[in-house]
Amino acid sequence: MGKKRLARAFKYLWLTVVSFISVFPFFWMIIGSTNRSIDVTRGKLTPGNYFMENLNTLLASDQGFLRSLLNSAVIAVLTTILALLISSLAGYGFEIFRSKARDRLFSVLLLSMMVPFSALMIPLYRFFGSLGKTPLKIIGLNTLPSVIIPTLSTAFLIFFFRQNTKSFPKDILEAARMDGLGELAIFFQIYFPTMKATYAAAAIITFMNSWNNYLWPLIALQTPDKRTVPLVISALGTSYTPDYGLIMTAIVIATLPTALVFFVMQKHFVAGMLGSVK
Amino acid sequence: MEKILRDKKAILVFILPAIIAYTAVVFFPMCQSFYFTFFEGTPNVNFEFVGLQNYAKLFGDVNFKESFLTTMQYFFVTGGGWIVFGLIVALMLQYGLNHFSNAARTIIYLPVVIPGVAAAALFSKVLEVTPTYGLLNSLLDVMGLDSLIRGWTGDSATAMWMVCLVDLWKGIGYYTIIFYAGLINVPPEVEEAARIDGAGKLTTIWKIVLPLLKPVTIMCVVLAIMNSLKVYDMPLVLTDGGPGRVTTVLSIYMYKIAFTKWQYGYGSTIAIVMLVLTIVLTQVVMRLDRKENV
Repeated sequence: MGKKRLARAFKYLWLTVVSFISVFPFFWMIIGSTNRSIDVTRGKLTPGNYFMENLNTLLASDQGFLRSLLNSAVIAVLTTILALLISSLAGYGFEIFRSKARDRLFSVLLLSMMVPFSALMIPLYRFFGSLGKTPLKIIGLNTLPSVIIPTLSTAFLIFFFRQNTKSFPKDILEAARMDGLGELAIFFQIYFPTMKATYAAAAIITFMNSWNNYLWPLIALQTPDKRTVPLVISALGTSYTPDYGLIMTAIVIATLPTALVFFVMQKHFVAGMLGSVK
Repeated sequence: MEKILRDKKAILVFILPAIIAYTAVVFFPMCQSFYFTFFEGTPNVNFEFVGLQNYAKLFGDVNFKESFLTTMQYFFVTGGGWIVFGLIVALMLQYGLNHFSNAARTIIYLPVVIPGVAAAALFSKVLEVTPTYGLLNSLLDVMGLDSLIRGWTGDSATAMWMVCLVDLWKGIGYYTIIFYAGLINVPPEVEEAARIDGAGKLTTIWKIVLPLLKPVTIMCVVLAIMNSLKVYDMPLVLTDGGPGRVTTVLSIYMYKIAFTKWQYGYGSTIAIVMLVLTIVLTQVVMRLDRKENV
């Protein structure tokens, strides 16, 4: 019995260590956002009451933080909606209407999942740059659409939806067709409401990737009024006399949306992931 | 006949948007990148066909070799770490905990939620030495380990390790969730049967659960390969490729060649090397899987 108790003690010790490592940086950044720069530098670990002051300084600074929040939100929300729509249509289509040709097309898609973004960056930069002198300049470099468009179709999401579609009951499909429902109507009225967990998991992943995206916005967005949150944070961190209370406040606010999306949808998240590993 | 035709149209509605988007932003740019590798200079100005010279240049480029090795270090330490720790944590969640399993899962996923740039800014403060000690150095100071105090991200001996560890910290939760989802899918009867046969918990996991988990493991390994070879945001924001060039991974090297030196041709060549490297490594992993299944 003593051995068992020891094992249990070890288990909880381990759990505590892991939790501490996971949580401490969050704890510290929240504490930091309530303290002055000098206190953050000193490693003060108790909450202060400078949060509102930090927030005001942040909003008043010439970095355009509020504007960047708006830009990031527009980009992340539009990307999530459009990417989920395009990818789920395709994932569903590839699984439900199978044919040899389409299966082959799918494996080509899958292979290109390996393409690192770096391999696309130069041509994309040139392409969006070339739009600047045409009527299409509204989606050219330094516009929000130029950040959204390259992330709309990811092989991973198509793969993810196809995997999850495998568990979608096919007899419902037949029944709906008998009732004379069109293929698109079946998709929107039956498939979509049934696959909520899948959409939730996909939404979490897509929203986070978009909100956190750094390299492409860094290249595509050039004027301060177009910058996204990660660009502003990186600018705050490298400024000549960094104000750490302010940086911590910015980090906390930047993390809020993704944390919120995750907590609201996390019940579905594991269920959604489950469908993709079956 | 009419019905089949209508169906064909319907199928197009489903698949076509993805194919169009895909061709425009992935397939076409990829081909163009490959095409650029045979040129040097600035397109439309002095773009010159140079044949295979860019590829030949790679072999003599000390900086490229260094970046390649740095990427490999990240690949083994961080990519490997994601798999090993992700699996261990998922196993603990599934088999080691009777209570708090949901809470623990959420806590472990937390670091994934924080934006990479925010994590970098946060840790640059933890690891700092000037103007004042960061948290880590303060801790070492208190513990009397003065000899260990250093600028963790500014010291060329430790900078790359810090990049690897911070990203390891950030990524474990993601792989844990995928492994965990795979573990939930393992039918309970299998474990039951093993237990009745007198197998201990560890033996059951080692001999029964892990082999069943193989498809999920392969998926995680492929994801880890892809994610670790293309890394850029942590070394870009935490250390900006420095000090010197010690954290200049391939992505950053390519970025600097293409967007600060404006050498599209050579930059594209590095990008193509990354692409080939990713495809070769992932294919090796997938082949291994197939061979063992025969």
